[in-house]
Amino acid sequence: MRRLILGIALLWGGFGLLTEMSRALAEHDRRESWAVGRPEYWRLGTPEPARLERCIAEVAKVVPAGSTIAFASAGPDRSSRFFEWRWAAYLLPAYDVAPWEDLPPGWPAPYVVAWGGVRVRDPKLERVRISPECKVYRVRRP
Amino acid sequence: MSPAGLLASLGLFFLLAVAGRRLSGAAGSASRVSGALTGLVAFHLLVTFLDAVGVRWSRALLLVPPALVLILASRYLPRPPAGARLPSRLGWGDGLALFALAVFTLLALTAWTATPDFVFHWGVKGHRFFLARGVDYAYLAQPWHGTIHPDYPNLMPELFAATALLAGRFDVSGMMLWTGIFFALLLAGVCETLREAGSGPFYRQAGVALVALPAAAVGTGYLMAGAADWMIALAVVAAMPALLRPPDRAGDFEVGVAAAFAAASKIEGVPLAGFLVLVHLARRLRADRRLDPGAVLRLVLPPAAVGLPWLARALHHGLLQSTNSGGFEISRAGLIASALLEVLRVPAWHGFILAVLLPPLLLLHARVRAVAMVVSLQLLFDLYVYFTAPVDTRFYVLSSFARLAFQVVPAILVATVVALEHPAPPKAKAGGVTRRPVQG
Repeated sequence: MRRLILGIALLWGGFGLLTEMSRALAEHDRRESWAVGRPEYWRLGTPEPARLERCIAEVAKVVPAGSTIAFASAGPDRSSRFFEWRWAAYLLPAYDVAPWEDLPPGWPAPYVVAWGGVRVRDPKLERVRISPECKVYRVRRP
Repeated sequence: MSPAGLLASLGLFFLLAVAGRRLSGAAGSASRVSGALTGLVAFHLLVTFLDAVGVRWSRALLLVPPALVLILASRYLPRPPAGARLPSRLGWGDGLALFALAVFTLLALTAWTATPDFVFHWGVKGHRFFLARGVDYAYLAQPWHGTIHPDYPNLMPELFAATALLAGRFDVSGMMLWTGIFFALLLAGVCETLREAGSGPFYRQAGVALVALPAAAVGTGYLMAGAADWMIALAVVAAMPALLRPPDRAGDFEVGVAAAFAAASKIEGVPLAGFLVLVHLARRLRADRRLDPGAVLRLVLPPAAVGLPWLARALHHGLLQSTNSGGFEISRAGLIASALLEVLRVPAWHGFILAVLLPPLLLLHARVRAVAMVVSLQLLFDLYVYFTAPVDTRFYVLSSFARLAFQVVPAILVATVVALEHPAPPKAKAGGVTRRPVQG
């Protein structure tokens, strides 16, 4: 009886692994057309992070490494913007990336990256680089 | 996928494991898993020391000390007791376990099954520490980093950073390989546990496969490559052989090192370290009728050496988060229960998460009681946090319990196999074990 219980558990475990393996392989094969809008479900190697990565590549051209960057995105809700900020931080490890909307008052973030069509209006900022989806701003020098 | 990243992970691991085995062998331990954990804990202590004295990490500083330990230990320390070798002929359960390990690891190397937390904090920390050549406390202490667990112990990102330093770049597959290594160690720990329990061939084979198949399924389906939960699961299983046999000198050290490894890995590992130490101390006290200072030292020193610097650094840099704990609110019980019921139906677990309900039954079985106590205390602690943390309780349970369960389910499954094989221990073995002279 005990061996039977273990045998059934093993069969079930094997079935579980095969199910997850085949699902993962099928998803992996579709990764280039993987369309999950919400950034909490993005995965490495899928189009959405790749789109953000293209924006990030612009940043590295004009912002010195080690700078603090405030990251603004056009996510529809706070949760989306939070996870887009985390993705940006992952893709910009050489920078201190802060969330634009949670920047402490008076905090001197000398650069702002606005991604996904979000508009950042602040008289203290000047645009230093623009691409269709990615704008880089710098705090105006006095 | 970069061969340099993979070679760096493997090379660093083998160097630390071999050096660690020499050190744990000097403490009387024959366990290869415990030896590997000793090496990883020693690595953590080394980089913690370098950070404390303000020395930036370099290849030489990371490689020379373990190599020196290896050379000096080979020359001056006694050889480690002969541990059990891998069987020359693999059984059907070993084959299934290796298949599960291969499936999980190969998918992990593609990063397709990488945990979202690798992007949100583990990977960023590792990459940042690589660039900073040390744990970057100024970065962690930024006011906007409260949501990325700046207070977590850092062994995993330290290993990521060291791997990148050796490889010359931060390569994701090299980082993912660490999870495969921890999975392999977990399976080796299961084999050592079943051997310690005196399991027969069928139960040995069934036990290792019973852990490997669901672990690989959850690791793949629930996206757990690069997650530190593997390390906590490994710590519990690594302590199991010592918790199954009567307390002895080697066992004190093995439990102490498992506790230290847990405390270095993730914040849940800190209470786990405490539970491992408490349960083993209680067993020592019961067996000896007194507390031997040497045993206390072997047991407490490793986790203290890891935990105290972590706490000091976290306090110094103001990293501890107010969201970790708050007042106990019994009114959350209904919310927590309904969320837990939802988590028990997480598809990737295929029902194996229900093993979290087994510890009360395992407590009745003398042979595995110590293990059951450790996992019960850990699960109760998880519940306590749900009742106290000042965050959205339902979201908290839904987003964390499937992973927290993963930390204890492998140990519960192994304990269940042992209990199934030995359902009614003779009365003479009250306490679960035949009394042997206690060493040290």
